[in-house]
Amino acid sequence: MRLADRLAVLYSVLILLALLLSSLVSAYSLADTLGEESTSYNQVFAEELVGLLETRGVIRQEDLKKRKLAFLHIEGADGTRFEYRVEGTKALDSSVVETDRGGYRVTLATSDQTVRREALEAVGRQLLAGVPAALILWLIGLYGLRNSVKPLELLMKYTETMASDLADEQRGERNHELRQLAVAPGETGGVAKSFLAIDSQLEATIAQLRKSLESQEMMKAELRVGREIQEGLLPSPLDSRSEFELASVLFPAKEMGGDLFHHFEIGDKLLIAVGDVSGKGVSAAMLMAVAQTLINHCTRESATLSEAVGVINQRLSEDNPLAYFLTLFIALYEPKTGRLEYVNAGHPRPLLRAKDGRLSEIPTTGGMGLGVMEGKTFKTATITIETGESLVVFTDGVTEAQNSTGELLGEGLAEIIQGAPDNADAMVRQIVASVKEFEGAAEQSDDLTLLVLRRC
Amino acid sequence: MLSFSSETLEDVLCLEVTGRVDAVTSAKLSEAVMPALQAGGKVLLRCGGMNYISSAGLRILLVAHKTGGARLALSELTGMALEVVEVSGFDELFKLAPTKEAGLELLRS
Repeated sequence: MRLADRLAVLYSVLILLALLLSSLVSAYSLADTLGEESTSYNQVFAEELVGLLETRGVIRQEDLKKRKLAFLHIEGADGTRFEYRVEGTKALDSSVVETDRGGYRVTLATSDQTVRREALEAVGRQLLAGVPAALILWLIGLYGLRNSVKPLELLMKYTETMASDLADEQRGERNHELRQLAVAPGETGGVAKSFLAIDSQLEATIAQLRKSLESQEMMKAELRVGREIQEGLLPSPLDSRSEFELASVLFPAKEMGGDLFHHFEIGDKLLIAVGDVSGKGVSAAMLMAVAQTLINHCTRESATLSEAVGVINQRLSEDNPLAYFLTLFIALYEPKTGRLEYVNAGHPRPLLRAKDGRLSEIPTTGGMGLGVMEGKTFKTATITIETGESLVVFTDGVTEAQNSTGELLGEGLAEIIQGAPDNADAMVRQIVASVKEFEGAAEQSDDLTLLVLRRC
Repeated sequence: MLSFSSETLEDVLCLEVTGRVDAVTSAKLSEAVMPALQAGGKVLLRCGGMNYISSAGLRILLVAHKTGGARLALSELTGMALEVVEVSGFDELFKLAPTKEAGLELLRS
């Protein structure tokens, strides 16, 4: 029900109640007055009756008519008695009169019902005259009520739809109504004015929001494309070999990341690399792309691994005022002999899992991260991977994975690797699953890269 | 979180670093260190309370090193932060000292 209707009903009920209440009050007070009046009236009547008895000796029926009597009782000194009683009526207590005069004792009382009926009839007549006046008053009130509630209803309707139909074309029309209301003096005009102000603010804010949302969506789409391009820079899995298994995985913490891995064959050797550009996100991703390209190019063009790393470092160091750097583990592996020649340029030391599950860090080559200092040379080291042994190369995103209380995985990685299955693919899957389990609900804090090379 | 307390000893700005230096907080480290170095001053970074440093933080140290060269020294590196500096090979680059006094000594020479 609309507010105006509800108010109208309430108003009408109130008017009706007031009318009824006033009628009842006046009926009661009228009955009281009539009762009081009837006492003095009865006194006179009693004397009249004695007069009649003395002069005429009898009381006739018509003498009693229209007297509203409940009962009449006369007792003569000679013992004669006259009694008159109207069946079914009660005496009005206040109207009972007893007179002792001229040898007669007269007792009489007015009928309670008659007095009340008369009072009600009088009030009824009064009401009948009052109803048209009340009706006119009621209609005027209703009209005033509706008129004063109308702006409020408009404002209400307006607030209900304000947020939902910002795009609605009828909005302009409604705002027009509101603008008309706003020029009105007093509170209604003031409220309408504030509404208009809120409305224009809301409109501006929403437009701004929509715009920033659009540009955010666009940015996200760009980042998705960037991620796809970055994924395209990573090598496809090698066809399976009888001499070794190779598995690798990379999870960026954001859409794009600064981690990289690479593997490809150069002659009868296999090149593997895992790297980490400082920072994360787009800036790191751009340098990652450069690094990936440099690894591709320099390792094929250089005579030795250390020369290749030297060139990569040189290229990255030249004109690098923002000091973005790359830590890199890069190695040439001979599948036939298990010989692994490698350079570790500031990268976390890879782990070697022996056949019996024992773990050891492979010796470092003491190299600095790439892109830091021009003209540096890099030493290589060599180990042999025995049959059944696995080399696990990773970025700090693995060891520095955090759980929700801020603890780092750290040494926990060793335990995970020791318990992992003896197969490159399965081992990678197991390590990733264990790291994710450790992180729990915590957000991945850094890019995470893992490469496992197992000699068969 | 990352916080600093600083004191000036003769011509050296001593900055005590407490907390994590990561991708988010490394900008604060840069703001704390760079002005003094750019103005030609000496800075000793006291890292005893630095319990974590990410590669983004290392990069800030590198930029500081590029700007200040020998006017920057790090002291009291420990735990994970020391490990990260060593693994990345940057211990070769920075002036490192085990104590505050040794760090000040390094900057005097």
